[in-house]
Amino acid sequence: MEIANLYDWNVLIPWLAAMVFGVFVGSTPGLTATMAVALIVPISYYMSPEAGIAMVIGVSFTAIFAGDIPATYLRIPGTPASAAATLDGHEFAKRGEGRYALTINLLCSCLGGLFGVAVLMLVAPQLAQFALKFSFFEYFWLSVCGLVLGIMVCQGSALKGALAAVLGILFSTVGGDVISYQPRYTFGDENMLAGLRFIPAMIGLFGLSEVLRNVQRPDALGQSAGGPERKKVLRPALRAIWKHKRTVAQSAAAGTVIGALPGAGADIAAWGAYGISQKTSRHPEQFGQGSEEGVIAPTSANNAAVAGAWIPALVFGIPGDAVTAIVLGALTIFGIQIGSSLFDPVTGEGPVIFRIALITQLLLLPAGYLGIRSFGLVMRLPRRIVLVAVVVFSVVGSYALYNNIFDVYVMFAFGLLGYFLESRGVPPAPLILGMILGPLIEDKLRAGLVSTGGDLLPMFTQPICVVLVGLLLATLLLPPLARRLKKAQHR
Amino acid sequence: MNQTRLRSTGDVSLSLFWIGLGLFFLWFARDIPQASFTSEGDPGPRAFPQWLGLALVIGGIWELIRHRQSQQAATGPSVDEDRHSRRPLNALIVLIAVGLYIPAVSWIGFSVATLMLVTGLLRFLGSRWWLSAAVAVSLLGLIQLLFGYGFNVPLPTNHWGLVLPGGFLF
Repeated sequence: MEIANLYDWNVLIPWLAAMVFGVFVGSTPGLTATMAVALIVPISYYMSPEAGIAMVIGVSFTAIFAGDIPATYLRIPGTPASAAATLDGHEFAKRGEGRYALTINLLCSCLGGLFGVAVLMLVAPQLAQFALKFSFFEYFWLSVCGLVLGIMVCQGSALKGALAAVLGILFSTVGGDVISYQPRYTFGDENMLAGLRFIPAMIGLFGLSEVLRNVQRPDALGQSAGGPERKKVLRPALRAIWKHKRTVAQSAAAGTVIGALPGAGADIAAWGAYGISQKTSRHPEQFGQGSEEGVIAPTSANNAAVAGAWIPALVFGIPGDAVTAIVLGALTIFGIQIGSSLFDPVTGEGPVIFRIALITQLLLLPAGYLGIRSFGLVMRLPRRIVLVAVVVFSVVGSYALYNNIFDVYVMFAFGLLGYFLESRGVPPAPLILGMILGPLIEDKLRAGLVSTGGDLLPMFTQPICVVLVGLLLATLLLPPLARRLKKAQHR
Repeated sequence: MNQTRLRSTGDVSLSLFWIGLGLFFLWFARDIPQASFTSEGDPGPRAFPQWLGLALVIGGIWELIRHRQSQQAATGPSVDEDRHSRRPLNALIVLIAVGLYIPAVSWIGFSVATLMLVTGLLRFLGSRWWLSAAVAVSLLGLIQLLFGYGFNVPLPTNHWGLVLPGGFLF
C-alpha cells in the first residue's frame, strides 16, 4: 500500500461514498455502527487495498457520529454511544437550534477523532501496556464509575436515577447467566434466553415514549417537527468550540483513554466525558437544558474512543468492541500484519492506516454535513407525519437487528415503561446505561471473585482500584459536602 | 422554566412500582440455581439479581417515605400549566394502534399492516384522507427500498410467505 494512492479519485470516491452510507445507516434507529461496518466490508473486497481499508475505517467513524443526528432531532439515539447526546442536543432542537447543535457535534467529532488518531500514532504501544494492567476489578470499578456519572448528570432526583440504573442492571440479568449461561427469568421462553436487547429497549425508551408524549399536544401536530431553524450556524459553532476548548480537549482525552480499554467502548466514553465535563464546568446547572458543553463533551469523546479502541486492537490484536473486531478482520484480509511491526516507520503499514484515519476525520465534515441537511429537510415535515414515521421506523429498526419480532415487543414494552417513568420524573438514560453496563459489572465482579477465591480485599487495594474508588467517592461525596459548606458559610 | 426539567416529585404509584418490581425479581430469583459450576468465590447466578431486587424494594420504600414527608411539607398543589391543552386519549389510541400493528405485521403482512397503521394514525391525528394515504405509500416504499434493497436487511414477512412482484414484501 502507498500513501500517494490515497489521493487518487478511484480511492477517494468510494471512500466518501462509504462514509455517506455510514451516515445514513448510523442515523437510522435500529441500524448500528456495527451493522454499517459489516455491510460495507463485502463491498470493500472488490476495491484496491487502499480504497477497501479506507471504506471500512471511514464507515466506522462516520456511523458513530451519525447516531447523534436522530438523537438530536428525534430524541432517538442512532447508536448507544449517542444516548448522552440526546440530553442537550434534543433541547437545542426543541428551540430551533438542532442544526447548530449538530454542527458543533460534527466539528467536535472531527476534533475528537483527530486527537484520538494522534494519540494512536504517538503513544499507542505505551498506552496499550497501561490498558493491559486493567484486570477484573479495575473493569468493575470503571463500569461502576461510568454508571454513577450517568446517574449524577441526569436531571431530577438522584434516587430515581439510581433506581432506574438498578432496574436497568436487573433487566440485563434476564437471559443466560454471564458466567454459566444458566437461564434467569426466561420462564421457559427461548426468546428470553437471549435476554432483553438494549437497542430495541433504547428505541422504545427514547423514541416510542417520546411519540406518546408528543401526540398529546394536538395544537402542535400540524406545525413542522423542527420549528424555524437558525440560519447561520458555522461561525457561532466555531466560537462555541473555541470558548469551550478545554472541554473539547479533556473530553477527547477521556474518550481516547476509555476507548483504549478493551470492552469499554464509545458509550462509556461519551457518558464519562459528559459527567467529567459537568463536574468541571463553571455552569453545571445548564447541563441537560441545552448547554453547548453538554453537546461538546460526549461528541468529542465518542469519536476519540473509536480511535482509542484501535490501540489494543492494532498493538495486540485485541478488539475492544464489535466494530473494531470487524475492522481488524478486514485489515487482516487485506494482508495487514497486526502487532508492533505495524508501527515500524520503514516497513510497517501503520503510516498508511494512520493517514487514512486522519483524512477520514476531515472527510467526516462533508459527509456529516450532508446527513445533517438531509435530516433537517425531514424535520420540516408536519410533526404528525414525523411522529408516525418514527413509530414505523422504531418497529422496523427493532426487527432489523436479529430479524426477531420478539425484539419489537421488547421495544413496545420499553416504550410504555419509558412513558410511565418519565411522567413520574425518572430519567430514562440511567436505565439504558444499566442495561449496557450491567453484564460488564456482574461479569467482572464475579470473575474477579473467582480469581481471588472470594477475597474482596484486592477490590479495594489494587493500585488502579484505589484510584477509581477514590474518584467514585469524590464524585458522590464532594457535591453534597460543598453544598453543606456553602450553607454553613451563608449562616 | 424549562419544560423538560424533570421535577423530583414524590409519587406513590412510582414507589409501589419499584417495590412491586423488586419483589417480582426477588420472587422469581428462587428459580435460579444458587451455585454455578465455577470454583468457590463465585457468588453464583442468583446472587446479583437478589441483591439488586432487594435494592429496588428498599429504594421504593425510601421513595415512599420521602413522598409522605414531602406531602406533609407541601403548601399547596403544584400547577401544571400544560395540562389543559393535552389529550392523554391520543397517547392511548396510538398505544393501542401500535400494539395491534406489531402482531398484524406477522399475520397480514408488513406492507398492508403499515399502510393501515400510517393512514389510520395520520387521519386520527388530523391529516386529510388523501394525504394520509399518500404518506403511507411513500413511507412504505422508502422503507422497502432502504432496508430491503439498500441495506439488504430483511423486513418482517407475513404468515403465508407471500411476496409481491419485484421482491417487494406483501
